[in-house]
Amino acid sequence: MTTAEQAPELIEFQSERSFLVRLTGAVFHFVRRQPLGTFGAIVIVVLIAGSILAPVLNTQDPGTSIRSAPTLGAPSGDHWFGTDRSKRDVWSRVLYGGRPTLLIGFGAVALTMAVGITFALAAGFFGGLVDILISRLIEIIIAVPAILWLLMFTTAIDRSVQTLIFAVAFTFTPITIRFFRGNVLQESSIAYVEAARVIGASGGRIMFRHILPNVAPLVIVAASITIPAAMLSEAGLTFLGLGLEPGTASWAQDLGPNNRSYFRVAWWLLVFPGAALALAVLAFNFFGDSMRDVLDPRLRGSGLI
Amino acid sequence: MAEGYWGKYWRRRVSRRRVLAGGAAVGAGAAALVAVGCGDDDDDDDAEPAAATQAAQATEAAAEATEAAAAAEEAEATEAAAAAEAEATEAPSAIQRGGTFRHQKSSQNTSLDPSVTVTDPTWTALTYSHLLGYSLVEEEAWGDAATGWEQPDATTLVFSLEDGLKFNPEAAGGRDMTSEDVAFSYSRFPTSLSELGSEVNQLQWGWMGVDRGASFDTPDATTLTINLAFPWASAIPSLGSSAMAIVAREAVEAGGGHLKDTPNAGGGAYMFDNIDDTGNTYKRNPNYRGHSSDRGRFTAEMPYIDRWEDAIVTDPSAREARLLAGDSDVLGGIDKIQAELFANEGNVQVIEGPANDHAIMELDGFKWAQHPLLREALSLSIDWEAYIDVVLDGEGIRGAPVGPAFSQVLPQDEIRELQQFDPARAKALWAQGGGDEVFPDGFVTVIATFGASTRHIEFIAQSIEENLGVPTRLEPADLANYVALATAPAGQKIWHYFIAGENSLSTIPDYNALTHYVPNGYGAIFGGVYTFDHPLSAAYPEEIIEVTNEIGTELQARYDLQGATVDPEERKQVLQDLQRYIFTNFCCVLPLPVPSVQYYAMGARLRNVPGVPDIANNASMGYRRAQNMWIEA
Repeated sequence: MTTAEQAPELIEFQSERSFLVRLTGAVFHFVRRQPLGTFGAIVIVVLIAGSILAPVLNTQDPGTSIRSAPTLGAPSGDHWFGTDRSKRDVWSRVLYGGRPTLLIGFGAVALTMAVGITFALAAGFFGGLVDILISRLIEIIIAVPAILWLLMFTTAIDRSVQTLIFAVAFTFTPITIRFFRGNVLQESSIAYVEAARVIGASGGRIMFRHILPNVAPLVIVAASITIPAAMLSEAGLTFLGLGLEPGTASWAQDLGPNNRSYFRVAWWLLVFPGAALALAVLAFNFFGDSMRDVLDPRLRGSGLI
Repeated sequence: MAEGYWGKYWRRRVSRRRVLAGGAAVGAGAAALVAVGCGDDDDDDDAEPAAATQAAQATEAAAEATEAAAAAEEAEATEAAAAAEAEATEAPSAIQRGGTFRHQKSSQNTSLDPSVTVTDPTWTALTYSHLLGYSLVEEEAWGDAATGWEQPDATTLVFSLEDGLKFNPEAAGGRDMTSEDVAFSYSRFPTSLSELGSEVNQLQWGWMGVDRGASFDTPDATTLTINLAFPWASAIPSLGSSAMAIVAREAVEAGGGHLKDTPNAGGGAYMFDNIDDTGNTYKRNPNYRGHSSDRGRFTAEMPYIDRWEDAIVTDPSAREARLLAGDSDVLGGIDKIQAELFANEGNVQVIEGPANDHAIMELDGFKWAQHPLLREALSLSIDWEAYIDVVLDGEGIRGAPVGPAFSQVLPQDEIRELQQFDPARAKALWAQGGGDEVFPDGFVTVIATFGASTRHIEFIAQSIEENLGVPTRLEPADLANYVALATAPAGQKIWHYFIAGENSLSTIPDYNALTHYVPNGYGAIFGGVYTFDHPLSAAYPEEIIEVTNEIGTELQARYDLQGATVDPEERKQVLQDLQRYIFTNFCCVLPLPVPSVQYYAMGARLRNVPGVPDIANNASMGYRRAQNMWIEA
């Protein structure tokens, strides 16, 4: 085998190794410099893993009433988090309950970011009529309280997870467009964009190959901060009885009317789903804040990182 | 050396992250306090008991003292027994007149005309007089506006009205209430149905046959003769219905045919003081006092309570919190667990007694009428006994089309035989009837957002999904939408089944439950077959009409027969055969299990509160009409 034949593989290997080394280093750096963010990340991983692995974590169907179980049974060896008013296992409901909440949080934010950044790039890069149209559209949407949009969608369509993802994304997208539009405008005035224009790059290429990578770190920051807000939107709606269908295993659902009357005597109905929801929101906030510290160029050199 | 991660923050202004961290610590602390607090609650069993418990203990003390007295010297024993007796039967402090009863409800009334809606019985009970009332507990009618009555034959009822009855000052200037007013009020229903879109079920007034030739004679101001169009065994009890309110003609005429702008149209113990978005308030009707009655109605100085406030509190938890905090005097029906919890609350008294509830699962006839196998499969897929264990906390019985308090209800064993749980057979029938093709998208049902709990609906949906493999989508609705969705025209109902419950006596104090099963009753407007006098919807395909006509006509004929059968024993047989017919045809209403015990939560400061199940029965001596109920300061 000649050196010339080996060279590309070697380069690839070194490149991969270099990436892994850099990634590991970055992780260690993050852990050392951002303990709260690390805590948040761990909690997020645990909650996601718990939701995904729920079927193998000593759970039962979260909707099924267990006739032999006590009504409002306190936490015990059989039911680690107790049972609710309908003799359902709270441990199972908490684990399965993370699925819709996390799914809506991630799904809504993914949709928000995808649509929001696309519109922000168009508005910021093209300017003129495109910018005016998009900006006015945003103002129209923002003029209506978010809760009304959410109610409208869940009433007009249905109360499925998909609808809630769409509804929550709809209310967050205008703010996201505004946020990124400013950054795109800022980037557009930098020399590299001008240089790209000079060499004949198309608008699309400049937007997606040059500007987007430069605002990408902010996407991670914005996403990690928006996820808990999206989760709380869903929780608020469900808590009001207008979100996910009754009976659906969901943290917010279990804090709703069917259980509320029994919180005084069955603390586990309040504490476990409430703690799961609060922990998730807190963890995303910690993680988002830390990611902002690490990735937001405006904070670099501020002494925080 | 670089300063530590935490150390550098001491010199910085407070960041968002730090606030969050602080919040987390505070949250954890609060959670710990909550846990500790809850733990303490468990120890409160020995805490100072509520007034009712004190009375019970006093009674026990009396009994113990009496036993001791027997063993002791006669004189001492007598003294001890007397002392204990005095403690046990400690006379309540003197009746305190006045005060405000603080009522609460979930939403404002859709109408304040008793011929248009009676969904909320409070205002009809407070502001209107009726000819009669009927008590389930005492199983007898009592005169409200009427002092006496007789039934010379099967279709003639003659009533004598109390002399000198008056409307409230805002209704017809407070003039005397006469037999003509009663006749006018009862005659309004057909017009209200056709012109005002009345929501009042026709069976509340249709039994008289006012739209089929019934007539009224008013030879003088205090005599009324009702000539029924056909015999009706439940005529006397039915006159206690909320809808049978006596309305002043002038108020109706002033409102252009309805009472939208003239709600003070009655002669009840109270009259409206204010109506707005926060609720209704009622004050005494000054014209009400001074009459005589041996049952507490129209008696001088009564009612003891001066005012009623009926606040709109949409959130069920808030309603509960208001009762617990002493800001409200009524919560209403509660379950066993809540009753146990509330028993130790100082502001609450729990009243317990035999229930007379009726709960049903209406099937939309438009979707189900053609599919008898699927209807049976649905019924077989519901675990009825588990429903009693889980939803009713083991304190339940199997429901039937006749209320459980009535002697004509089928025996429990027979109901269990007629209404079984058999998942294997359910699946087989479902497959045989092509269920997956008929209902490819599963089921839809409606849940009330104003109700306290949807557990029973969730249980049914879960049971069907587990045992039949068909999911149900739960569609939420507030009160206005709830009724609209329930009663949407044939072919336009979004739901496949609709679960509803009621106290059998809240409206017609006899066989109201049955009206859900017959074409001329709720069965028609909800989802059951739609025949008889009601025109079949044009939306019904021919093949459905064929089926609905057959079953519907049979149901209606059997229902009419029981109404016309005056002999009690004969009627019992007819009623039981009707129940068997309903059970075996599964069309289009399935009776649900019902509680065997009913608990009611009322403010502890109330005295002379009526017992269960009459407590909420507007037609009886329910708390809304308990004029001798009073408030202890």
